[in-house]
Amino acid sequence: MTWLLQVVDLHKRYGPGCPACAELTGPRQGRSQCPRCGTVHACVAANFSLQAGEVLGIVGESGSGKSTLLQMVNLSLPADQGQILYQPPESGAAVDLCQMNGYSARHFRNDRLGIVHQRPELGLNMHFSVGGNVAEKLLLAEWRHVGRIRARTSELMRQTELPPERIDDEPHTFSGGMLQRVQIAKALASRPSLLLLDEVTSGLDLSVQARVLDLIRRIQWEEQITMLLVSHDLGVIRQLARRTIVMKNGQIVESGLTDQIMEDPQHPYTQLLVSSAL
Amino acid sequence: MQQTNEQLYNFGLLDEDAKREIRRSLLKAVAIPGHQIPFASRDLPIARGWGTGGLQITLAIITPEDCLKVIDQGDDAGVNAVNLRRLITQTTGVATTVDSCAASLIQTRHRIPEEPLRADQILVLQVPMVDPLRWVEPNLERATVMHGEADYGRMWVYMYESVVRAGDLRIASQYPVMVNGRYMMDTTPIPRWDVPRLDMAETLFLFGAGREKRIYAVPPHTPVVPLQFEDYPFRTEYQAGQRCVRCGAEQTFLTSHFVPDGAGAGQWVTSCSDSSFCDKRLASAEVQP
Amino acid sequence: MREPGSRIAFRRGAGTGFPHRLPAWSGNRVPASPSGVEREPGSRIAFRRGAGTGFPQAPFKQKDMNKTLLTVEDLTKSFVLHLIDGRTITPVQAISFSIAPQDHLLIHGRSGMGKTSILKCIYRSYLATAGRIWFTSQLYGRIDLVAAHDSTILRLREREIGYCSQFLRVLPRVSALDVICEPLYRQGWARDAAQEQGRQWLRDLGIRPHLWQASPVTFSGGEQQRINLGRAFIAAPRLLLLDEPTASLDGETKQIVVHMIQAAQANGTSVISVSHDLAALGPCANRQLALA
Repeated sequence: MTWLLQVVDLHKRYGPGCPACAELTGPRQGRSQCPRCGTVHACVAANFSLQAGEVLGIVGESGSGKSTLLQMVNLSLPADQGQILYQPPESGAAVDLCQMNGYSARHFRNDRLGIVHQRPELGLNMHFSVGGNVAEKLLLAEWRHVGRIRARTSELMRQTELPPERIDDEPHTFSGGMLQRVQIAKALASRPSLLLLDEVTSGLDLSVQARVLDLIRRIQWEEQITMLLVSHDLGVIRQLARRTIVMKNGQIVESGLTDQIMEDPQHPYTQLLVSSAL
Repeated sequence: MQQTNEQLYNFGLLDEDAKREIRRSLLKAVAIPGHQIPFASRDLPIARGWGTGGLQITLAIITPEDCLKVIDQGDDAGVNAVNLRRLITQTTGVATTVDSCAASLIQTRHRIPEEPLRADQILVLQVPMVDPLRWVEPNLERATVMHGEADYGRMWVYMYESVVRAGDLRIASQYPVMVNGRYMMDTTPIPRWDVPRLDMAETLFLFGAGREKRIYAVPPHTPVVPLQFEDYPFRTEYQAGQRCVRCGAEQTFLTSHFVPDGAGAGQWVTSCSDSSFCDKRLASAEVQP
Repeated sequence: MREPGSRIAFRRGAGTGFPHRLPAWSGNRVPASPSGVEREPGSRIAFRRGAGTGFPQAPFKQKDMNKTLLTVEDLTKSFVLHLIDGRTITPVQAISFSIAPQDHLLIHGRSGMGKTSILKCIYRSYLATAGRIWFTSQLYGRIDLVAAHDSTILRLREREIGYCSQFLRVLPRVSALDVICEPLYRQGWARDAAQEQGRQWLRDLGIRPHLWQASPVTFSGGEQQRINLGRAFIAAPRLLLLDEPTASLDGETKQIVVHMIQAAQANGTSVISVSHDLAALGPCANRQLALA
């Protein structure tokens, strides 16, 4: 079995922590903040692995710690404890991403990761043109030929169903759905081995949402990119992910095949979540 | 030097502790080429923004044996150059010169002298703006992290946008360069003409920014590569056919100025920016016509 | 300049030239070429390529003939309903059976007897509460589907186990052609080759060409069910789980489905179907399991 990413016993907390934390927080207590010391346990003992080429969904209500987990995998938030092991597809030696310094982490992120944020302002620089935003990833990969950069950028824009003739327009002239596609084009530019999607369709109207989801799914088939998908929307998870993790109050309460989570949820919280879905 | 009880200043105006602090920062700057080192910029009898960064470096490293040259825009007689030279000589008593070859320490704004500099010379540059990333990241704290992680993608996008919007790399001065393949550095005061002369040079270049409280350096034999694209390479201001009206030189950095003819009209002429170099050429041409 | 790393190794290109697989029951067979049947040695996984390659050319079946493909031992499935009062209901209690390659097992019985639950436990849409489900996999050997890792199950679903639900459940706005080709895309087929194959299946399923680019959501119930079955058959799994395959179909289409099942069987696929429709499926099933 070729795994790409393994998250081992990952913790993230905000606050000093106290001996009572473990007992007073978690899904059983229905809170992630310890009432005694005030520490917020955003992620407690997360364990999962990601196979090359698969789409893993993380579902949970807001505040469940799913975005914290994604940010830690994106190396933009340092973990307190635990390991994020990455096994490069080209060689067998796994590296622990948590041990990387800022410089290596930055280069790893540029090379291997692509991320699509919920809000385009987080992923795009609104002062640069759309083409410039997409080109950033290429420039970081030491592409130094404007003609070739523009050719590749246009190709990426076509692939993400954006009009290539608008390559030099500024992002604020684009609609929300188009901006999400710009983010996807940017994320794909470096041919990442892992694509992180953070609530990509929240805030979009239904038809636009469907087009963005179609696009992501098509890209997944064509490029076989491994994806980690965070959403509070079970519909999105059902459409894209084949395996799903359910989080609540900073802990993983259930994980399994997506259809099994939907049809035969084991944990009371998952049952509630599934029965509440439209 | 004459010792009297009435001496008002320490040698070189700054007290020895201040000099030592600046020299420490200089050592660090030389050790990490292109990296910006903070230092405690002192108050001086001239206003910040008028070359206090370069002045403090000069005062910190000058010795009584040094021979000093101060230039402003290539000109030894510029107002700024004259003032700074007077301040330094009054507080140190060192000898001064206008000849680039004779000087052991040169303080300059906006130019590197045309004549090749040697390993025993030091060039001190006055820097108005320190960080090349300020164009893309106004927040200093975040820019520092970007330097630390060599996260220069955004600056490259800025160059790319410059090509896309203007059709070429339209950056006149303050051209960004990569020093030693690691840090991005602003070549802040100098024109593009002088940028290639930083690369693998014999001389030590020290950059001081008094207002922004930063020191950085390019040691001798350090690769300095301007940001450029394969299809839009870096170019200097050189234009074939232009020459200096005084000495006829072509291979120098030329500035153009308008010469009125008295009848309300006039013409643009170009002349060498480096006045001492131009004077030297003229003098030698008179000797050997 | 670093050239972008090619991902071609993960994808099989359009021009690799394996024979286009046609529906086995279409009577229009392409002879198998041995090199097209399996991947080159040394590639990550060797798997069987296609049922349409014709029965006599597929040697694996002779070898597998005497073995069982699937053995279900004391399968029990119970649900804990946390949201009601934590009560437990057990629709499947200690069921055991086994099937050999090319068998067609028909499970029938009244509604609510847990017929579908058995299929879903085999497909792992449901987690079995107790018991074992041994499957003889080509990729992994003999493997317990109850305890196998999720990723293993996903790979088996891609290559070896197919499932056809009672109702077609697809994404909106995806064309019928893409819906039917989806299992091929998942197996890594090139888009053109997959669509060529998909068109052939749609034709044989009797879906009119002007509907191919429309979403199946807009189709009639019978058409939807045909698409649903096509999707399960096109991947040529070794084990096919069919949940009420003939429900909501007219007599003529039922016959098409029965032929599809028989052709798949002839090509080495084992079928487990769940149905009330003994009249249509009874004759083509060689074994039956009645739940009461």
